[in-house]
Amino acid sequence: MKKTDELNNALNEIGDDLIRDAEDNVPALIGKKKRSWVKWVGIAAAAVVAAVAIPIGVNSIVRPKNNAASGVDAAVTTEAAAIENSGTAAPGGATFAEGDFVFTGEEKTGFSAAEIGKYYSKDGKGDTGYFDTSGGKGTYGGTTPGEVEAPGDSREDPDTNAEPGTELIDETKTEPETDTETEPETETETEPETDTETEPETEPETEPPVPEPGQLTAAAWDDNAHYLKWKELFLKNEQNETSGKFSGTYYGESGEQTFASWGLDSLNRIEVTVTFAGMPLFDALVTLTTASGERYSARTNRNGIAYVFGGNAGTLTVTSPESSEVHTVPVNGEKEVAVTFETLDDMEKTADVIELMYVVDVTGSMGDELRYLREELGDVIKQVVRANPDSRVKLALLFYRDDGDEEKFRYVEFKDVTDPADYESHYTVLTKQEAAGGGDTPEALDEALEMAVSKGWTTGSTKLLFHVFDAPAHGNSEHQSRLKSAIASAAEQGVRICPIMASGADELTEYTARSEAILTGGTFIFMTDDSGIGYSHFDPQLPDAVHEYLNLLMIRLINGYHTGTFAEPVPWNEAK
Amino acid sequence: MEDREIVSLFENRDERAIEEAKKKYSRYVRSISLGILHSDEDAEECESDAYLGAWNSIPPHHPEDLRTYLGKIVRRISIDRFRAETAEKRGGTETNLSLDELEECIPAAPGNPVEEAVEAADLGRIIDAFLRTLPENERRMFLRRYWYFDSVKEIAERFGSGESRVKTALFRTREKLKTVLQQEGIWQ
Repeated sequence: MKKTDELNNALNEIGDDLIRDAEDNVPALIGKKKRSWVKWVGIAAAAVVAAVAIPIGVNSIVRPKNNAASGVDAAVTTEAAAIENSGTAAPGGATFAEGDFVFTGEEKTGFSAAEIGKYYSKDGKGDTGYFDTSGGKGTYGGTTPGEVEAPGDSREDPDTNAEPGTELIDETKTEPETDTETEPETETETEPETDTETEPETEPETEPPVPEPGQLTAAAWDDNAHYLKWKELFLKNEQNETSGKFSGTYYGESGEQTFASWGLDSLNRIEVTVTFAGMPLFDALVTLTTASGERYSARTNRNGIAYVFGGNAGTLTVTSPESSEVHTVPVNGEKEVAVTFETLDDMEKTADVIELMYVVDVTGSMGDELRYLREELGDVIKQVVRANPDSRVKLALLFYRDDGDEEKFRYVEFKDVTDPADYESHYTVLTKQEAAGGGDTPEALDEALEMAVSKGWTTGSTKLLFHVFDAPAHGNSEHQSRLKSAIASAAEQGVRICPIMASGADELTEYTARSEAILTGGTFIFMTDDSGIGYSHFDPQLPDAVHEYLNLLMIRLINGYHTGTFAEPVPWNEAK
Repeated sequence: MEDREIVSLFENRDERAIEEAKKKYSRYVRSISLGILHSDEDAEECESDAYLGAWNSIPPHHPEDLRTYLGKIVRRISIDRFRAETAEKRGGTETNLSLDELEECIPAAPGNPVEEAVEAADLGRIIDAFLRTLPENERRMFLRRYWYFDSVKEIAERFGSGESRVKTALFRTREKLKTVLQQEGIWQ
């Protein structure tokens, strides 16, 4: 027996509960209209058994099949001619085209319970459409208001083991005109009208309650502080086979691609410490120029440390906004370099200002968590302002989606949110964001970051960009190059990116997030399943990372980056 | 009728068992077969064979969950039929794609030309244990693809996700399963 067959047979041996779970608890469809026009009607078996003659085009006359005793319906295959009434309006207004529905032989025969509302194969390749008994009306693809559930799709079925003859029907359909043998309509209604018949589509939906902040959970990880572990992710073994998870390939929109194709080289790092009189010098600009002329710049953090990438040989140039000194240091393989400034001309150039920007993916896939995230992000600002009464806290917002979406970007410029009015205006914008659009997995991430780093960041402030997302950028060279440039620009300005990886991410998203963080001296944040909110969260397999409440984690990081001293993380289950 | 009553009918060789099972689970059983064969005619036949399979296997079996029991039977029958019908024209269909993907989970077995068949039950236990370690949505996606033979597009729609993301998730799960099978020494 072939191994595939063995594997397939073994799948039949797994627990019944797993099989049931994959049938009964598959998440509801997202992004589709509510099925308010649908109701459940029990159709008496006798009525179902009865043959219903329905003309479908010239050659398609309904004819009972000879096994009417069991109520079995006619066979429907992909071999016959298309029905002729193409273009007929479906209940929801959609139409089907010639070829969308094809039937066996010349006639359509009696409908059984199992057949009404059934999906038929359009072309034998899995595409489906719906055909009902109302004179050949139908919808194709199941995305219009005429949609009904596919067979076996019982997510919204109040009873997946429904009584025989109970089927989904479209409330808007008319009864078959030529039904001469079915039971009177009153007999077919076995469920009360209040069953799943829902309110009209136009009825406003009840706004769900605003969630309290302090519910989402996440963990933080600083790859610069665990640099050897980070490099292990790119290792290959002696046979040059991939062993680290970023050493090989992934499956993206263009098929199999290498992580290396993104050109986000973080494997050659020099740690530069800049001091004045034994004290760390903040916001000093460190530029590495390699022998081949490549340049990479970064700014020192509050501990006087900058990480520059791209090579381990060349020349380091170090300047400070507070000094006229220029230090030039040749490097040839050194991993750590110390630079000491002798004089400071203007110590006021570094101000007690915290500049924060939220860059948030608001595509449809973020919908499971966005409502909570809005509150968490708003709460963080409030608490940071409260914890830093002597600091100015400035906030900007950038929301992004993808090509073709109605509002691809929305930017709200920096405002001093220590002013309650400005805080309120930002908070209002933040909490009005809804998840929508997106379509495919990659989003306009690179363009968003490019825009974000170009927005009025000021020298001498603590600059943090929290990038909340669940999907990578598009993977062609243009997007890859733009992402690389945006990250480099952030590093040069001292904007530390702290990506927050939301639910539904994958390995490429993790790679993108961690690269953003390590290359800019930021911190990688990944949301976790502890909260029970949202779909499952991709596990980057960092067992040493402490799972915290997201808002407390962000506050801890902001205060840490601003003061140079990071508080210890508090596990979420010990925080309250 | 309750499952236990239908099972009782099977055990008592009462032919109403098939009728009752069909009344209750026709839609589910047919949809599994249809997902594999994409032919109503074939699916109808497989459905009938599934009830017959239940008739022949109850007793000695006494399924607690008749729906899943019938589902397993019809899945096996449908796959067998699919293989028989497509033995000489591999490639192209969604079922083939799914089976081809599943093949990626099989570890290579260098230096061991004598490959012994693995007991389905043993392998089933390993896969069962593996699936229970997965996040629930990854597990469900995997089962929708390789148990129910949903297309990637259908899974994406069900989960409100992009197809690319589904593909990535499935790929990741297959890789994990492959590692588990390697660690368990399956086919090594």
